[in-house]
Amino acid sequence: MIDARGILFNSVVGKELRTRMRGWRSIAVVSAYMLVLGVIAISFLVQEAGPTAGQSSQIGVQLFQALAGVQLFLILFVTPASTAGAISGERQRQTWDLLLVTRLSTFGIVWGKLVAGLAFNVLLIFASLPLFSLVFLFGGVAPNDIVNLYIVFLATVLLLGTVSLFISALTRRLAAAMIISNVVALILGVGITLLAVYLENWGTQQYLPGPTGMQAVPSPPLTPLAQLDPFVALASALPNGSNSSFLGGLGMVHHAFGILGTLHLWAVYAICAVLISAALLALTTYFARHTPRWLVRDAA
Amino acid sequence: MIEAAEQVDEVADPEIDSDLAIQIEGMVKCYGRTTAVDHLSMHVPRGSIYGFVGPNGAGKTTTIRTLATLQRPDSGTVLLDGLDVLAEPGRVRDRVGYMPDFFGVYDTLTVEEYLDFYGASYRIPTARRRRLIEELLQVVDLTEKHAQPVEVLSRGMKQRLGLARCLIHDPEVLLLDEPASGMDPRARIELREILRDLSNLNKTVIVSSHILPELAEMCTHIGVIQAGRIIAEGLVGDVIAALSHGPRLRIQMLVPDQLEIVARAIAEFTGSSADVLDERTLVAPFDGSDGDMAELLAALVARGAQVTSFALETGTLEDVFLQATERWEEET
Repeated sequence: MIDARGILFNSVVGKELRTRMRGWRSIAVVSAYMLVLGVIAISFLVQEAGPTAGQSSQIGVQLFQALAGVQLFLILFVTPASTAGAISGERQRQTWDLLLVTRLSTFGIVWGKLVAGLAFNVLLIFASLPLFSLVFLFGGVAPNDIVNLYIVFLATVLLLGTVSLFISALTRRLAAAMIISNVVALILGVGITLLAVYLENWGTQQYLPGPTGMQAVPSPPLTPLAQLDPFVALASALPNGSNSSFLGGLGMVHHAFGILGTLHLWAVYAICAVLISAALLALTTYFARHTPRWLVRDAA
Repeated sequence: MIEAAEQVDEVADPEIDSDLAIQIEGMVKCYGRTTAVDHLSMHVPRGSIYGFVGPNGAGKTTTIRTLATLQRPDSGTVLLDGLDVLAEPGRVRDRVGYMPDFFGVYDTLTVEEYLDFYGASYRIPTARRRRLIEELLQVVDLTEKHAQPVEVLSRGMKQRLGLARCLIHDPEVLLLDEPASGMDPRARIELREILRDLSNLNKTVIVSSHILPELAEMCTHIGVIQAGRIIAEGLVGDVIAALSHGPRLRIQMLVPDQLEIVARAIAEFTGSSADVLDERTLVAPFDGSDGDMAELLAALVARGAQVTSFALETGTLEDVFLQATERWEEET
């Protein structure tokens, strides 16, 4: 019989969680993370909820959007930092070989590293949940909006976590893995957004003469590239205050993956993240034991 | 039994010798254009402490890492306890305890947590792990440190903790790559004692080192590796006897200009020539009795030699190693 609990929570997970949460660093990261989000929320409320404030629900939606954007940006920085060292750090510390000679499978070790790395990020994003619940005081945001948003967050953490773990398997030095992972995270997060903006010509509404005068040209459907963009996915999951997505009609993907019907873009993004993560996990498992030649030191 | 290494070009299903814990035939491992291990054949009897001696870069670590299933040989057969390391790496890992030349520890874990983690990684049940850890800490003399973070341990203590880690799954074969490197003399003595204890538990231990005199004291068998090949292998005493030049007299004079007098006296007395080591010291082969030695000394003094040191040297492992590798280089 397959021991599901043993696979999910093997000794590596226990050891990683124990060592990560011991000492001041993790507490400092959680505190700093919450401080940044808290300051944003309070500043927003001070600025927007004064006597000249607009409609209450609009404030709620704007606060929700602001917190969501900042949290996704934080995820871009924190997730690579918590997983990029998983394998390269062990190699640098000269403990990796000792793990490989145990009875743990290579997948078990890699999986344990991933679960432990993601667990910390999941802790961070769920620690921010009380801040997000502030928006319910103002209205305009439905509970399922928060669920959709957290699916985007979790998918992003998974995607960046597996990307960073893969980079970690291809590097020997912790610092190198950190730098490369952060650059890749920025490209994934910001680079694709900019590329998508450029390719889609977003933000510039085009008008053409029509039978009844100048008419707005409907925006073209999003390229598949945008389906991998966490910020585009976030925008598709955010409400705009009028029972619609922040992206409007662009937030829907028709004939998703060729076989599915119409899906929200954030759902397509989440499915893409899971599929890519599974592929990266397989590659990481391979490279974790079959160390690339450029990493092999002359051990003779 | 001394076995001169011979090149084995093709090794087809070698016969498995059940008396051997480790049997390697014709192993080759290359890193790019560099051949780290070149048709190496090695035979380690069960229950032996096998000193694996060779200069840096000779192929010791590559051989040991292959045995630990951490890398694959390009060709050849590598058997551990009769199991092929390529075909059954999982079962091999059950039987092997591996300690690399340099290894790190998880500093924030306590000594007990450290061993518990590896115990769990070897799938030892929790209840058995607790008892096992207590016993192992006693073996490596770290019981008092059980609740201390690993980071406060000295290098010698960390090395002993590493040994305890190797033993946690009760392996039959221990692979210790340069275990004494960087240790102070006291820690080396402690390590030697632990290895003797392990030998008494009927473990097979492979110890690689270039601290040769120490290996001679603690090993039952020895294999000399040079340029990726075993050039001599067998019981320590047999290897020393076969490869060394036999006992030699080392004579040191007070002043430099007496070497000629002494060399002539030795030639007359023993019929062999002496090698000059420096301006005041020479060595010469000598297989006479204690009485012969006393006579030679008296003869030297009678000829006016001011002898400050006069001692018989038997071949040390260091001598054997140097002679064997020099001879091999000359022959090849």
